[in-house]
Amino acid sequence: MTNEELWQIVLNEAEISISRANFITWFKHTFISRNEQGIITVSVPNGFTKEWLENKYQKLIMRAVRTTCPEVRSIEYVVSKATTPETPQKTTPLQVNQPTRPVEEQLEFQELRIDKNTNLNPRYVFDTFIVGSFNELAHAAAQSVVKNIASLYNPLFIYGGVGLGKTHLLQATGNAIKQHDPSLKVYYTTSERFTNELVAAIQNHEPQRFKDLYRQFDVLIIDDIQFIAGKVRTQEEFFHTFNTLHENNKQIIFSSDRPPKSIANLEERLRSRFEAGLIADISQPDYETRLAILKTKLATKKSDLPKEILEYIASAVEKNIRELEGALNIVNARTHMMGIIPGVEEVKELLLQITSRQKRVVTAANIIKEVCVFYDINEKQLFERSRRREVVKPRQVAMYLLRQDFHGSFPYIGQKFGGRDHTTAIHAYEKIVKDIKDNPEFADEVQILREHIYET
Amino acid sequence: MKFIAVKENFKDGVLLVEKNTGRKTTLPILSTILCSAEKGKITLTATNLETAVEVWVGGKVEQEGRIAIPARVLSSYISLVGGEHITCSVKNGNIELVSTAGRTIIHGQAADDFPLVPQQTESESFTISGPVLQASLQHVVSASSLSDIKPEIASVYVYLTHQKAIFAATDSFRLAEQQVDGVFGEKGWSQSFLLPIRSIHELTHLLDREDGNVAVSLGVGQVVFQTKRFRMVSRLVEGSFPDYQRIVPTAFTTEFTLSKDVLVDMLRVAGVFVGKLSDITFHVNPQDKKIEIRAQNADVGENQVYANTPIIGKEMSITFNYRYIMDGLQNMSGDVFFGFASPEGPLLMRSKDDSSYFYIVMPMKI
Repeated sequence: MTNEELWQIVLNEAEISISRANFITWFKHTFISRNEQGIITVSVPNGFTKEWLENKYQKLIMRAVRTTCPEVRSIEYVVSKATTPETPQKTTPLQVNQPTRPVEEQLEFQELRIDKNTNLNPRYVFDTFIVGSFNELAHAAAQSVVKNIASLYNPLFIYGGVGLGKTHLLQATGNAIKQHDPSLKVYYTTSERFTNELVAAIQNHEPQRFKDLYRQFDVLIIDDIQFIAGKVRTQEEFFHTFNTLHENNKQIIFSSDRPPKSIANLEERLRSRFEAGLIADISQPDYETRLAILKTKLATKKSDLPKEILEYIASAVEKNIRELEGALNIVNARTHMMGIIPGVEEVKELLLQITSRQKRVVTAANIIKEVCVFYDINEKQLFERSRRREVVKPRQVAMYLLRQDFHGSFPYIGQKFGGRDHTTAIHAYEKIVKDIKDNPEFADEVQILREHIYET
Repeated sequence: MKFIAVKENFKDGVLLVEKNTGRKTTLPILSTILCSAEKGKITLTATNLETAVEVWVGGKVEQEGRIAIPARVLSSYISLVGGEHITCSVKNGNIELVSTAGRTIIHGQAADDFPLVPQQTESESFTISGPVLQASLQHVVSASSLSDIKPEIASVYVYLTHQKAIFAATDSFRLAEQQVDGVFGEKGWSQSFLLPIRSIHELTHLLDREDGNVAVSLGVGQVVFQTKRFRMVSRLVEGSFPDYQRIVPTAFTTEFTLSKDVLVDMLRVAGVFVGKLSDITFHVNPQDKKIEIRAQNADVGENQVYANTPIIGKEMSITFNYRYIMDGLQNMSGDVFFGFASPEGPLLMRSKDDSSYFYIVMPMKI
């Protein structure tokens, strides 16, 4: 006889012997949690019930139990956490997307929804991740990691620019793994947090606890790994953590804004380990994908905007999905406040603050200065007629950037660089274009340089 | 059962426990107060099966016994009746109350049906000053969630280390934290628990006229608060309180400090004009050193109030729920610091001279 059947007999007996109110009050959410060697342990929801059953209904319960199980000697009562055995109360984080609320809303602390054990935000799921040609490799890799933990791509290294969905993909992977197999220990962190915790551990003289903490996970996800560059102690600690996890067949997933080989000040042994698994990139979304993203976002917000406006937003905001959403929010808020949907011209004006930032004025002087800093050469050298290799390459890159980003004419560029012919400028431009195409490493280099220019 | 007590003492006791009776109609015994005279002590007990309160009343026990008396009748009667002393005795299952002003009989119920107050076993204990406990709970409780959907935030989080107690509450829109210094345990000792919001209201009510220490003992799933006057048993909320440290902003884009009284006056004026959503907009302008609070109501009208004070950071326009701001401000004094993290991020409020308390609130998106 199972515990449930036995307790059901007790319940049936009690129901006829005592008043209905008493029965409901004192027997609700009770069950037998253990039945061993003649001792029955009954789980009760609170102390009141425990006292009452122990002192008032002990005889009744004992009699009912003994009629079917005469070997039972005693009954114990414990206040237990779970309410009933059938439905163990699991703390299910709010998986369901919150019902869409009107635009006027009280904002919440998003961070409170983060799962304490995994540090994952349940908001990020694969379902809301839009796949296009720009991110399909990364998406497919993440999906297969969910199915083949630590066996297929380990580590998985995902890189891409700001606001393109790296964090979304990482967190969605973590959430999917957790859903797939809740017993796995998944942990998401950022490299900054990793460093901070390490520093705290060193301060509190408990580095071992820190080591043990990170080495217990089955899946470790680290966002923005590029920030450990230059932090020697963190890299060392991380190296050991990585090795331990990898040796024990645990999955590790990283994200970064650039590929491992382009992360400056990263120790070689870490770099080679990052490259050991699969490296997948997320590039910039194409126009169609941007439009698709806008439509999906709009659908989740349960609002609607005319096609032309969406098309304009998709064409105006090119590089950053986060800004794409921001643009949509601005237009939405405007629509709501004014009660009418703005025209395309009005939208252009509204979005000026976002679009204008992107096309920020870049001066020729700025480009040249950053190129010099980046390649560590003297500005004077760049304009000299020297043909030394270490000068030629930066000079060509500078010319390329002046053409590509500054839209200078070739004669102007030639003039700028010590009165060279415009054909020299054309040659330099074409050479760099070709190199970028042929050599991805060099393409990254130029990309990083560009970021420097636009950051300042 | 028979005892004699000073009427005022008896009345105080009854009024203290009365709030804690259950309103469940299924179990009528919960709406009674158990009155017992045993071992020279007169005890009044009430419970709603979530919390139980026992209050001791001074008096002279002449004959031991116990009886359950309907709480509403007893409390109405005792707060109206005159006389200095009152003699209570049980006669045929009814209670007879005799004073110089008259004689009353109230129908009682069998004391045996009254729920038993759970005993505390295997507990950890500490003591805290009553007024401090009461003030700390009152400072944070307004921020806790009123909905039972997520019980872990429909409660106050109490975290204790050997020299510090932290009280925190949030309803996911705002968060309040109060820190208290004291000695609570051995070095290295720490404990935390979640006290349900109803128990807090009960406890702060009980602590109203308490100036001594409260002994707190933590057991499995329940906690007991005990003073010279009362003992309260409450269940604890299971689950874990959110890891809120990370939402406390440390850097601000815009900040200012202004006297609480000035702010409250401004807000009260704006409050007259708040709309259905209780939204008020702060416009903070560092160039003009001006803070403007705007409120508008489609039916009533609109209002702007200004104040001048130095402002650090960027110009900002941000909307909040009026009540949320007021809730936080109430617990502060003197000059109040306002720090805005970002146009869509939290606002941190704290008294300038008191770093033990802070209150953060998220803006509204309009």
